[in-house]
Amino acid sequence: MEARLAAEEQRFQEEMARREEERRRKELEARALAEEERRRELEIRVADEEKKRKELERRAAAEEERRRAIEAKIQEEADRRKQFEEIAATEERLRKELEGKMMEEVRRRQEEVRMAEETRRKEAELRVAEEQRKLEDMRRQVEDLTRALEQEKNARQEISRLNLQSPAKQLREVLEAAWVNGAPDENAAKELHERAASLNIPPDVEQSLIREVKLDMYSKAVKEVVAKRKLLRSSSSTLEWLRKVYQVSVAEYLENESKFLLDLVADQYKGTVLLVSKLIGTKEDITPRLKSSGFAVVQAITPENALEKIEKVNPNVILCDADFPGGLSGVKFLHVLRANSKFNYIPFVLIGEAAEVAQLKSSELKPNEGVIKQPIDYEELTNLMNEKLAWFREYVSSLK
Amino acid sequence: MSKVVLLVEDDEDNRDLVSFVLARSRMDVELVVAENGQEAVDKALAKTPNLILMDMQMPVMDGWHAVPLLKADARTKDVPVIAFTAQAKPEDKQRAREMGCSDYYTKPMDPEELLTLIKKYL
Repeated sequence: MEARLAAEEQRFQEEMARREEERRRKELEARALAEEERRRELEIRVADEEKKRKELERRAAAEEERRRAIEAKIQEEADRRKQFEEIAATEERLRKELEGKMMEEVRRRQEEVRMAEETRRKEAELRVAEEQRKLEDMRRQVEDLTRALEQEKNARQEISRLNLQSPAKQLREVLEAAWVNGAPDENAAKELHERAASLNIPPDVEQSLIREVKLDMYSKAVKEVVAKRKLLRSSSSTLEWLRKVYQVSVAEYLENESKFLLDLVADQYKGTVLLVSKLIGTKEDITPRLKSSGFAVVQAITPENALEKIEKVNPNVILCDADFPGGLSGVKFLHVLRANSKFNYIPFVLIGEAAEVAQLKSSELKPNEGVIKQPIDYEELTNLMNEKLAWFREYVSSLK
Repeated sequence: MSKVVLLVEDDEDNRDLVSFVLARSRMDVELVVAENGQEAVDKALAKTPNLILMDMQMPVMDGWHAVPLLKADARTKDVPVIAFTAQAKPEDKQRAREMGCSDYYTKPMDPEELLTLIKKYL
């Protein structure tokens, strides 16, 4: 019994041991499973870490690459700056060289100009002496020429008078009737032209007669109007209207202005100035001032042009520019006038540059001659004009 | 056919001036002159003009009396009258308009202006 109990006890012990073994085994298995699970998690984490490490390595490599590129650029920039500095230094050196050359050139040119001025001055002195000699010759030639022209003009007038007197007189009468109240209309003008043709009057003579008659009729109309100027609102607009009625051009009007306006401005009229200037500015500046001072102004663009007008205009003073490229200069024009007994008493005022004026003033000017420098001092001009005009009046009255 | 302009003006110089201007106007105009309002009425009724230029201050009968007579007659009531006066008084201008004057012109004259005015009514 004891044996059986012992056997039973042993079996019980064994059973307990087996169960304990079983429990331990299961516990170990559970632990192994848990361990396995942890290992897998660790593997996953290790794999992640590995991936992150590789990513970091890749980024580090890229960063390294970028750093190298920047360093390369910095190096490149430094090289370029160095090149620029070298170029700037070269330019500075060249600029200094150029400045030096320019200074040298300026000095050389100044010297050339001075030499040229010196040469010109000497040449001018020689020319002046030569001019003096030539002027004497010219004076003689002009006198001869004037005599010859006078003779030719007289002969031509005599021929014209003999050839045309009668028909021209007839045509003039017809023209006067047609122009009495202004320019004839187209049909009347045509009839007048036919009449001229029937009288065998050459076209140039016909034109000349028409111009004469037109200016005469206009002049008469002006005088009529002038007589009634107190009844008119404006003399100048009435004269302008008449100028249109008689188809008198502005040039024709200006050429004869002193004749037309003599009566109108009789109370303030001082005299007629023949203004010889090619410069529009000079003419525009001087003309209104002279007019407002009581002078009638007739313009000529060159001394040659003035010579054509001088007899017709019969000026009291000639006011003339000094320079007329390609033609008679103001000074030569003065010498031509001096050489002609018909014109040498007309007061002459030359407008010139300061140097010319000084030169002329130092030379022998006659009492009826004067000079005024550019730019013009208009008070000085008016005084000079009045002075010359007074001389002229005194001279004319001494002749009487 | 020429248009007839009756100029009523006592001052001879003014008559001459209007005549001078009209002669140079290139217009086909016959100028009839009267020296006062009475003469103007007589001449206008005898031969109806196309236009009357009437000075308003005149001896015998002035324009202020002559114009109403002309406007009262059937023969001359439609003839345009331009009143001439030496003074530009607004009340005169108004009075002339009320009286039947077509226009009003203040002396002194300006030929082109006068011709423009005359041409307006011829």
